[in-house]
Amino acid sequence: MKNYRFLFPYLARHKISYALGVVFIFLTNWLAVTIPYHIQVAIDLLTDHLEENQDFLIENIAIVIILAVLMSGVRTLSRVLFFNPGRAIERLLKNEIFSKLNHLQKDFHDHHATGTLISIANNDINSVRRMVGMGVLQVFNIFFALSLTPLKMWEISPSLTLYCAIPVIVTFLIAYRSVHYLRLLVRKRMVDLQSLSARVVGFLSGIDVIKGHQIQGWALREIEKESRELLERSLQISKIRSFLMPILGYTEQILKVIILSVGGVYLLKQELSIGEVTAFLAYATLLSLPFVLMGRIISIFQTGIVGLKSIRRILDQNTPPQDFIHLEIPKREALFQKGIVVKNLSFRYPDSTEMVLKNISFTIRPGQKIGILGKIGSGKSTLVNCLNHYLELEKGQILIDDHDVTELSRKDLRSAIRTLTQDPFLFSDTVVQNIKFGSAHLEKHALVEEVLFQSHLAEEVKMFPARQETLVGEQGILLSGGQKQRLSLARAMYTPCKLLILDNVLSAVDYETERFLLQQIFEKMQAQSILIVSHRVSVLEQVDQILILDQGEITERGSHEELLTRSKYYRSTWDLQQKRGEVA
Amino acid sequence: MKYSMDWQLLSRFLGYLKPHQKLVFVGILAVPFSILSSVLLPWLIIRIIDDKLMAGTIDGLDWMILGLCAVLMVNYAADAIYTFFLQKAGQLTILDLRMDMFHRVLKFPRSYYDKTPVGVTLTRLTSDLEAIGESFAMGVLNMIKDTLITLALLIFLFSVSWKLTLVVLLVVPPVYFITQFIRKRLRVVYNRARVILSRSTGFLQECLNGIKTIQLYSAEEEVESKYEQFTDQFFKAQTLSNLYDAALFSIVSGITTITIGLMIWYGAGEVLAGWISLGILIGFINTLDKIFIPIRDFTSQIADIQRALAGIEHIEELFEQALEEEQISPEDVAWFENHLSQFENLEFENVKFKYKDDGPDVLRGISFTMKKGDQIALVGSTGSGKSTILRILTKTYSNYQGSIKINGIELSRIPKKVLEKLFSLMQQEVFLFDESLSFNISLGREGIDQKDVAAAARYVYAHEFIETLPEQYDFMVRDNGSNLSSGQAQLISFARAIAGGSEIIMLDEATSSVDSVTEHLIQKAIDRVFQEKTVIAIAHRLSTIQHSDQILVLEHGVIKERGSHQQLLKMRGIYANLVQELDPLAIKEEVA
Repeated sequence: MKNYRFLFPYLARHKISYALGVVFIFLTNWLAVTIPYHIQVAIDLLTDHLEENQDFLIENIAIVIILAVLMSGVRTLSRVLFFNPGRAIERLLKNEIFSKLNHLQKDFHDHHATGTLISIANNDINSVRRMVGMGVLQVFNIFFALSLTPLKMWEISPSLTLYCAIPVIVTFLIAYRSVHYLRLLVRKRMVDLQSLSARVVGFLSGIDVIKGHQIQGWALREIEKESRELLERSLQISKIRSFLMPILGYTEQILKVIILSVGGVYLLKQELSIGEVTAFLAYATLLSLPFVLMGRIISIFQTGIVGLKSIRRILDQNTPPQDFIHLEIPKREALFQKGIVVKNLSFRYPDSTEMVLKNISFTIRPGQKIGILGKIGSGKSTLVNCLNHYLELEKGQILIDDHDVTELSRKDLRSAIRTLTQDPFLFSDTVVQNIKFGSAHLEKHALVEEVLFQSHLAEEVKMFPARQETLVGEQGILLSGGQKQRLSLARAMYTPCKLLILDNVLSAVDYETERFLLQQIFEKMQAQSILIVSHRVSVLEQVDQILILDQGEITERGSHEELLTRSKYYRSTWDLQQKRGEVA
Repeated sequence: MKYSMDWQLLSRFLGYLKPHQKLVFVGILAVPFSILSSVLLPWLIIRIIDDKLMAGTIDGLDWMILGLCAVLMVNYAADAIYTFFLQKAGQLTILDLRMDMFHRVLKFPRSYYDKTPVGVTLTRLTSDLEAIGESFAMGVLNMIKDTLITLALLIFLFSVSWKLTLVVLLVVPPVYFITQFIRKRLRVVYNRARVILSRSTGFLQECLNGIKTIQLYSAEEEVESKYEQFTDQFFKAQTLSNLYDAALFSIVSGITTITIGLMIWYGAGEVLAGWISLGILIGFINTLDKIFIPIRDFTSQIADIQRALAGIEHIEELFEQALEEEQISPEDVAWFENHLSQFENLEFENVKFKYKDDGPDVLRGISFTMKKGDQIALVGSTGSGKSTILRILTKTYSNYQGSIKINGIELSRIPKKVLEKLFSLMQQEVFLFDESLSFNISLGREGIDQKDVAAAARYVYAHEFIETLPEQYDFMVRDNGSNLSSGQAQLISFARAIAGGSEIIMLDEATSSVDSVTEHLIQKAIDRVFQEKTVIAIAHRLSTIQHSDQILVLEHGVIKERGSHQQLLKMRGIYANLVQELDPLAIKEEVA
């Protein structure tokens, strides 16, 4: 019930369409039960005084044909009026899910596989669409068919109608039981199929282990076991589908037998005309149609509800409320006037007990260049992801101007802080679109040619088949690691920001190029301040202050010259890399 | 061309159906009964109306009604038997197909898995087979039976009144052409919708993969507006298809009614002239939808069949993929086992290798030797070729150039089975089955009993933590070890390698960091292995590297530096630089 209530506002948006649809579905059913009456009149005319009533016969046949044409139109409209809102709701749900997914943070995405989310956005929404389109239509259709048809039958012969009710009720009960049973079996089969799939995925992922230890026989036996279970279930379903479900289809035939026998006797007693018997035969078809559809409709609602539940697993997630409260534009643009202050920052990951950052304090003033050096696993990337509020942290540890980063919307924060990660992500789009990515809402930006030059890509892009318009990624050209890093650098420099964080982004670029890139970054200074994480002393040498991070703590800090004399670690790293540099 | 290919595809399926031909035979045996009863039904209705109702006599009506009931029961039974037995045959065929396909999949070479995502193979083994089963049950079976019944009914109607039948047949072409006309348009719109959907799904996937970039650039609204364009296009295509779909359904049922009108109009004259009876006219009216429905459903059944063919075509890929099979006699195996029962030495001589024929060389002349009891560490950045060396040694990939000799026997000649006993590989990516811990260590391999499992676990210091688990060795692993810590999973995988009892341990160290307690256990286990076994390791831990007799530093498929830890540090080259990134303190001592 709660699920239907969730759906209600979506349905209410299309109340006019639905209301008209109900009117038209009523008209369709009304026409469907009116036509047999005219057939009845026509047939009766054939047995009686046809010569005098030739015109009346033609008139009735004309009415049948006109009504049939009318019914085609009305039926088409009724279906469109129900299906289109279904499609509109599908569109709305997809957009809402997409937007929600974009605003949910790391924690959610870490716990939800991409495949599952895509399946929800496609398959589950699709089953909801079928429920609010086809499903709702059929509910009204069946309602009118089951109320109007008996009414017409009653008008002709109440007692024959009652006789007809008996097989209808019996088949309904049989159908209800078997649909119920079938539903259970189908669900169980689904579980069996999922467990078989899980096994197959498991074995395929572990194929090296299976082959390496020669245990193919075991894997085969396991799959055979699962497959046999699935087969047994399929056969149970087949039995119901072959022996029980067709009974529904025979409702019509059984009704015809009753009409011919009971109705026949009435006819012989002259209580019914042959035309009325013919009309009854036509009503039998109309009356049995809903039963044939019943199984399908029940399953539409079943899968619809399952889909709805999956959708709500995403839509009912809470997004951080502060992300929807934005600063006024002048205030946002003025951010970072005093820079960023990190005070006693400590951090550990949600499912771990180990502190990754311990008591980190430092300041980045506007215009400052800061470098971070530390070995693998010392907490450099974690620190960066705290600064841009990618990781959830506690209040009062990082301040930008006088705002606590946890209280600022991420959008505002990230308009000031731009982060370049180690693993640049490019979209399967053109070079130029990848550069412009994220700048749609910004007015100020550089020229594409300029940033291409600054990121040392201009020459290479000229060689690409369609230059700046060349597709990159799966469908386009494959870029090398270095090219990817430089393209993402170009993207970062395309729009201005206050603090540019470069997290080990130049690792795949050679020394020569690196020198050029750094010179560009430092000289042009599109960003006011820069934070560079790097292994290379040649990079750090050019910053104002270097922080050395070890096991989550800042062990030393100072300028290049200061650290050369003070820090053994820094000194040795320097010596080593100097030598490497000379060799290279 | 198209049809001949379809037949070729079908013949594979039919081949699998053959063992179940008895079931098919029983099913087909029911068809004549189904056809006969389908024809008898309208015949009896006509007889009842003409001979009894219109004749005004009740005598024998009860017999005719009984006959009608009997015909309905035969019809029901025949249909049920036909569907059930053929579906059963189909399901059994699919089971056989699935098992054979899985059997093949297990024999595919590594290169197949490199270029084929797991999802694709899974789809072949599940969804594609499901599609075949379902459309076989729904489409093919119904179409064959419906077509036969429609034909029989038409012949029957023709024999009763050829003129009225012609009136009915007059409507068939328009019904057929209207459905074709609309379906053609429908297909165009469907295809358009499918293309849009697959593009929007691609975009959605990309956004989910790049969610971090989107959020860090606050580009949420930007991607949303792009996605909205997709959903909008999809909506437009689908509303159009709704219209066609609704019209198709409504027009066919409308035409059925119009035909009834036409029949009465034409039949009136015939009845009046006494050429046909009223019973015949009513009988025709009642049989009409039995003829039209198959015509209406015909195209959708064709679509079902095409789906089945597409499924068959997809699974054909699995049958075309070459297998990695070794034809080797038991005597030869015995010879190899005999000569390789004890490891003596391994010799790489100018080994070159590339993954793809047109790809770059990944190994460009690797030479080294090792003897029993040696420990070699392979060091280098990603893509330097160190993992490739292990993959070639385990024969995950073949086709190397140069020479690799174990005990003087060329590796390419040695059967995999024999190799497995010689080497034990501990993979970097731990893989655990959803089975008990004890199974995950033994893998059900011959000659490894519960005692050996515990011994292996003790050897790698995994026994202690296993003891603390609720079911100990019977503890069930879930989702590739999601209910264990990553360090514990590594220990289990390590125990698995040890349990094999091989002489040589190949170690591809995991890079992921683990909690300090387990890290300590893993280090202790590695220390022990290094002291007692012959080891080839791709090492990331400095402690592991330091234990090795010989360190090979690789860069772009070439050994750039080799020697012991101390020797290499003194060279102050690539190795020293690598070590500095791992742990500056190690260098400090050296420098100081």
